[in-house]
Amino acid sequence: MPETTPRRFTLFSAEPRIKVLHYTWLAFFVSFMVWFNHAPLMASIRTSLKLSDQEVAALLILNVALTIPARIVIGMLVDKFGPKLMFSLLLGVSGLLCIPFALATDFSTLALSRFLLAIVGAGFVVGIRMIGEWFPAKETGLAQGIYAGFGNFGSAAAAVTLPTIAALAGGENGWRWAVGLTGAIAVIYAVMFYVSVSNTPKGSTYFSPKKMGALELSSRFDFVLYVLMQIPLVLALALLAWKLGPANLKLISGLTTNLIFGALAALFAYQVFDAVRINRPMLSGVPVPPLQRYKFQQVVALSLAYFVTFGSELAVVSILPLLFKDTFALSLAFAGFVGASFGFTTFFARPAGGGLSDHFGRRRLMLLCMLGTAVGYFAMSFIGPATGLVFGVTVTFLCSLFVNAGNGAVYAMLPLIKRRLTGQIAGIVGAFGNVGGVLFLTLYSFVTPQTFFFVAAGTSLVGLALIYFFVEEPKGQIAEEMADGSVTMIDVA
Amino acid sequence: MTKTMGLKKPAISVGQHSTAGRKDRNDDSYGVLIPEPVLLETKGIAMAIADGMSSSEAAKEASETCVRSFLTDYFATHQSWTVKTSVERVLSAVNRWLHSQSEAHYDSGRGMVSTFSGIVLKSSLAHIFHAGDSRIYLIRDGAIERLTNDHRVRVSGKQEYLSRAFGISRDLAVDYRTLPIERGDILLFTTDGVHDFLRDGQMANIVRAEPNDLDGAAARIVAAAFANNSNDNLTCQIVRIDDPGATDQKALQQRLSALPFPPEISPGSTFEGYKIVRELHLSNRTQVYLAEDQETHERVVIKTPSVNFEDDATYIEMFTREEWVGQLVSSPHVLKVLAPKRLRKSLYYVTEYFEGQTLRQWMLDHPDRDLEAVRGIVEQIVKGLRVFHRKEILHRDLKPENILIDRSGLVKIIDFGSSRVAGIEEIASPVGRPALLGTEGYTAPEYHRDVQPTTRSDIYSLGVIAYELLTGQLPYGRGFTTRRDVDRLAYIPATQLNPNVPRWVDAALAKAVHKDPLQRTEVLSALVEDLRKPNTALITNRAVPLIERNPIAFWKVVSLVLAVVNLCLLVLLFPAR
Repeated sequence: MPETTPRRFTLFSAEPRIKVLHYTWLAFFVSFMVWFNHAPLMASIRTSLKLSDQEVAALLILNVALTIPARIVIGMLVDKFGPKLMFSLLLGVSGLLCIPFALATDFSTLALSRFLLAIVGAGFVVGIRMIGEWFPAKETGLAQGIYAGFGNFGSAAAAVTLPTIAALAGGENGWRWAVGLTGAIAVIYAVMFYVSVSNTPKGSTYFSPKKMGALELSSRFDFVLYVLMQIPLVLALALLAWKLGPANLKLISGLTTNLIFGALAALFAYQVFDAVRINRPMLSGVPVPPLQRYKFQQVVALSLAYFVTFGSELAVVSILPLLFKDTFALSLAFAGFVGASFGFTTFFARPAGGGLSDHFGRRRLMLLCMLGTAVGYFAMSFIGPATGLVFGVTVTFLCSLFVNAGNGAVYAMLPLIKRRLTGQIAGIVGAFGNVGGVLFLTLYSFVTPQTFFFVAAGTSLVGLALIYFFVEEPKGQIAEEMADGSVTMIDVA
Repeated sequence: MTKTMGLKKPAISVGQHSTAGRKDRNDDSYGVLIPEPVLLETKGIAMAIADGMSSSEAAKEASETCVRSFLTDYFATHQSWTVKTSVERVLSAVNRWLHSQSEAHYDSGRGMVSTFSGIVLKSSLAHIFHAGDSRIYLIRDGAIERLTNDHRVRVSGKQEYLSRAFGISRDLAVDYRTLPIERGDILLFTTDGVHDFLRDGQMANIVRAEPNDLDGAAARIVAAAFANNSNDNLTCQIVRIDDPGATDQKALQQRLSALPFPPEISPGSTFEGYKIVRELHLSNRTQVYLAEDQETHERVVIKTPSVNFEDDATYIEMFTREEWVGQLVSSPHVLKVLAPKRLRKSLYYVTEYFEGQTLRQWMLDHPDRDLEAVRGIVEQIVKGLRVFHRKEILHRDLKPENILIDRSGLVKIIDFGSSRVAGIEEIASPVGRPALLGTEGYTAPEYHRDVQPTTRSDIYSLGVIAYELLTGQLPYGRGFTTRRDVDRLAYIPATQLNPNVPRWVDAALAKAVHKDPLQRTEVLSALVEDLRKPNTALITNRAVPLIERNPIAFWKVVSLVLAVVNLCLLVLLFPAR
């Protein structure tokens, strides 16, 4: 019998799948670094190009907008071209997009390149697919936790290092060198990734991938919920178009704004049409077999939980360096360093969130995380010159523990809703995380930081209530071995 | 019967009546067989009628042989065979036997002759087999339709003879057709003593008048024919379809999900009577463990499905099929799947433990492979593969990773999860079959075209393995991933990669991995033979032109010649002044 898999999961192993895990989390890490290379440098960019506060806010929002539709498109492309090519392309293209951003001399160039750079945020889906191909079921949870946790750390790494690099490069244009450097790293790593990994373990049988499309649903009620769930995705983009349009930032013309609205309406119509097409038998009254039934409301509740946790994380990571700099009059490098205290915890809190939920009870851990998030944001609303820097860093750190553990807990729960549809469900939930990012950043552009954190605390409480009422501890039919060798059915609780 | 789980099996009601009539003895035979549930699902229901020729001395024995063999031997045929193949084999055996009996014992070509009309009802489809002048009718919505043609020739006036029947000649053409069957359909089987003396409509009327007493209806039809002065044996068999056996999605799902997935198993623990020794292989699709039977202390291998697919009906079907195929195929060169000893409580299966390494690993460990060693391996794979092909099973995923070799050089084929079994492709299944793309590099090009794969597709994979054993490379440089690749990539002669490979061996390899299945090596034995001794047809037929042997040299020469010609032309056209 061939013995090709080692018995123990260890990160310091030359096993092919461990190698792939390292290459993949590093790819995700680089993608996150590129995605958030502007945040810690924003103060320099603001001075260098004389941006208004509204323009700064717009840049931050632009950075997460295109990610929403990109996730869907990239998801489909991964089916066709495989994760190896897609991750390399994504890193290569976004690396090149850093060049116009680094060389920009006016706001529109900056805005356009940032808008396009948002696609790099879709890297998550690609890597998840890679991990799924390489790891056996009992290791996927841990492998995905490491992938996501280490990868998300890229934003913290950018926040810590880029201001220093900018300072070393010196002068008003230091930030350009720092951004350009991340772009160069991305392009080089894209090539390294392409030559070093393969889509599947060597010699494995290839099955045609499942077609991505609208989600299969179990009842008409779920169908209505699903259609309702598509609205925020479109609305978030519409909100952005409005924000950029003549009514607010005047960056794009009224005609363009209306064209975008039209395109979004068409997109929505298409998604409803696609959902009808996929679910036609169920809608026309053919009952869904018991094995294939699941409760879509679980997806809704988890999407909203992720909307709060990941959405707020995206926003906070974007704004924190600037906030700390402005509030406490810190140097750019030091502000970046303390600002990173939020993203820093992802390194261990996200895998821990996934791991703990196995033992602690998934629903209970999620409730705890949401409660911690609410309290944490409430505490963060007191950050100001009066409460001092130490308080600021401490509450940021503690809050981020719950936020990142919450992210991990959400993703640990996804496969248990409907194993077969995990990829699509993860796509929806992930998209809501990005919608959260857009909405939170838009909110930030209108209100004071105190109000922002206060609202974030409020939405966390709403998320808490939703999880309490709508998320059930997942039930699975897994045979459990008893001591006498007989098997009984138990619920995975 | 419809209560049984799983594919909804066909259910029928039967009415029969037979009498010698105005003759001394009754040479007609008839019967219906509803098998036990497992066979009912895979093989369906068989029903038949036969009329022994009155002029033959052992007419009764002949008709009885036809019906009995059909009803019993059909269900003994391999589960994986198609209905048509199964019946074809059963009936040709019957015909040959009848014919030989006639010649041996009676010294006459008419010794044991019988007509035969039979139906296999499986998955809403009636498979109809017929030779002679007995008949099958279909009564649907009150209308009667004859499903068979009488094989008779009129010689003169009233003289008519059977043109086709069992036992007449060594070879026999049997009419075969299929017909979708619906609930409430009635199949009517008659011998000529009945249908020559009653009009079709009269029979239909009698059946319609007695919808719930089929025996009574059969008796009344016989009586009516007798009253019309029938002078032959009279037999009528009526079969009403109460349930055509359509596939039921719900029931199938229940059957598929009946066994839960096993829990995560760790080495040292016990699992359904086995002690788990260690993990052998974990992938995102399955887990494979080495285990010890706690009763017999025999070392076995346990394969469990990955929880990743716990709600994927297609995956579950493929997993269960793999076990089945493993049990069907028995060869020293195929990994043996062990029949379950105990009632299983979760989804898994057990195979023998074969202490070997994959051919992939073996290739890495043995970089210098001589031709004789390669032949030995290929011939063993052929022996294993031949057993698959005899049972009409295609392996479809042969590759070095799916072949094990032990220290003594014994070779075994493993992993039948992708195989295609002719018999079960027929069971109408609501579960979509995934388009198998196989393993890049080893699957035949026809998988990329919409051509039905054949045994030659497996020969292709084997050819690639033989090529790789000899050269360390793939015959087309890399695998085909798209249809365009198939058109574009060209065969690289093995002689180019390994100068020790004789030309004639390369010719054999080239034929085994030919892109066009029709030009590929036809049978496994031919591949073995071509690798053993030079096949003159492959080499002498065609001397390889320079353009194929060495295209660069060819174009260099052409360019040189053209250059010289041009120079000459220059000199000739513009002579020096």
